[in-house]
Amino acid sequence: MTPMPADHSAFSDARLMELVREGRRDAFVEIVHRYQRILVNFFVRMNASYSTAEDLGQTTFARLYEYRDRYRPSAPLGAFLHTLALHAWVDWTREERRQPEPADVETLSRKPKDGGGGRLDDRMDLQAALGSLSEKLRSVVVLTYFQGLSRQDVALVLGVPVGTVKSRLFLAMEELREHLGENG
Amino acid sequence: MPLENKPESCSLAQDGPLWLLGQLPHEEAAAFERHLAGCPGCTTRVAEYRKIAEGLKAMPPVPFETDLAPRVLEHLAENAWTDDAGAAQPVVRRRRFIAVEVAAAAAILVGLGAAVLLLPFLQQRTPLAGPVVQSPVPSALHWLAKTQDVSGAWKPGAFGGSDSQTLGVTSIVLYSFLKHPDVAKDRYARTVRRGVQYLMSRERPDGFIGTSLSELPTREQGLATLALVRAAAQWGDTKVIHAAGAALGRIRQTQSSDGSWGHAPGQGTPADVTVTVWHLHALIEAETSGWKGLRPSIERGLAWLKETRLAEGREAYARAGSFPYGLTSTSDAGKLFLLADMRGGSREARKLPLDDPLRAYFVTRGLGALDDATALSWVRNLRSLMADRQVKSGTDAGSWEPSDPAGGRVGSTALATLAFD
Repeated sequence: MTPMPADHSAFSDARLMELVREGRRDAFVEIVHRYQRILVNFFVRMNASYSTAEDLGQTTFARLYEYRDRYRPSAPLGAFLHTLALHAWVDWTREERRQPEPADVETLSRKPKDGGGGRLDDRMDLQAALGSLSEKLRSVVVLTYFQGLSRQDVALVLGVPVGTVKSRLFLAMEELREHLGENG
Repeated sequence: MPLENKPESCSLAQDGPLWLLGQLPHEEAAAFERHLAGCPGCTTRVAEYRKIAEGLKAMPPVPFETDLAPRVLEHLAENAWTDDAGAAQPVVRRRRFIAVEVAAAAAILVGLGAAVLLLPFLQQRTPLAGPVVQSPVPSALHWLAKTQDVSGAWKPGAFGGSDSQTLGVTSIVLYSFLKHPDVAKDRYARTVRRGVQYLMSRERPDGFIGTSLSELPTREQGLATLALVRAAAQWGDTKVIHAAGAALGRIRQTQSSDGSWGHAPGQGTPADVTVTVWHLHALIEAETSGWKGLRPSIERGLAWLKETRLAEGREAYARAGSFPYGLTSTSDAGKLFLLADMRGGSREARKLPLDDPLRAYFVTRGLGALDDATALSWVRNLRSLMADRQVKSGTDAGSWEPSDPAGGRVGSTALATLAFD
């Protein structure tokens, strides 16, 4: 078995996944630590409460383990994880015909330690505007602006052509513009 | 604002958001910038998008102090951190058999008389006695579970098959899990749920399940209904029950006046034995599970099947020439499964179906139901030989080699697993 260096952060995602497939728990823990904040933020931006976001993050990592043999290094692990996360989100909303939880004041009022983040009511407006979008449009906005995925990776996650990502982003921005204009 | 300057009328308007992100390819970005220079409408709109985009980006990440790792690891504790290549390998005691030709089995059937209905078969199963091959089912289900697509379906394309068969293959895989609850119920509960949810997502309100644009009955309808009926019976989930009920209703409505299913009646095309067999299979499974009102449809379907004659072992599916044994296996196996008279079967029909898991499934079901020592011995022999052929090592450990270009390795494995029911 390949010995792990003391500093796991030196390993690439692809190498860590190889080690996960070999049964290396420490490699899997490293992946969880690298991506847990990113995934929890994804679910919050999709309009989950904080506790639901944690639960769905846990689900996503469990599925990463389950589908470890399906991951191919030709695609970024981040894109693969977001694909799993999106499926977890769809399953969760479909399970009880749930609607996304309304913008959660408790979640949104958590301020970062540096005290930044703007005014709470501005953040509420934007989050509410996001919540007014359809799932299809919201996911492309969240993946692009919050998760920082490229249009190609967004296309990969959503399973659509790149041109569709462009058109959905345009439609989403138009709807956000109208929503914020009506409520501004 | 003149119409020609409104963003809705600009052919490049959609480029605005990606341009702001710097994600347009160079040529497209240059074209868009030239466009902006002459389009006040788009210029204004882009400024609005910029404000929104800046607002979105300025929203800080939600502070996160929890470590999810312990919870995730706790969830995985039962089966994680073992060598995956060491998944349960069937230990098959090697036995030397003299392969028993199907002709012998056919003779048994002839001796017993033709047209034994399936329902008694389901109710009078005799456990197989004697030395038993260690079951290959656990490793087969393990392989199937790990090849499930994230959508919940099983896609044959990556495993030597065709993705056009996704719905049918997913159905038969689910059926193979559901037929082995002793192995699958706890360990693969989520795998099966996700697969059933996929099937339900492909169902219309009128109970049609499929991807075909045609309204004609398809094999996929029968297969999917079979899986849903089984899931409904095992779980008692009202949504699944409703889905199964709608699918069964569709099957009843689309039965032809002569009792068959397949192509539209009265249009000069023959009914389809394959479609009829799977539709009947679904109806009979449902009746056994307690659904009422299906007996008239079942009787009419069985009556049609009994009257259908084999011509060189081939029936209505004659155009699928690339499917090895396919026409023969479905026709003959379907008839055998439903215990119709096999005396008219072709020479191919009498071969041991080692490379034809579809036929092996039907044959083991049909013969396994007979309370006859010779028939049961034949089934044990077949299962032992099939277990020998299961892949024992590597990433495909637990699977069987693809037997046809449609279902690929996934289809073969699911059907072979069913032969060990």
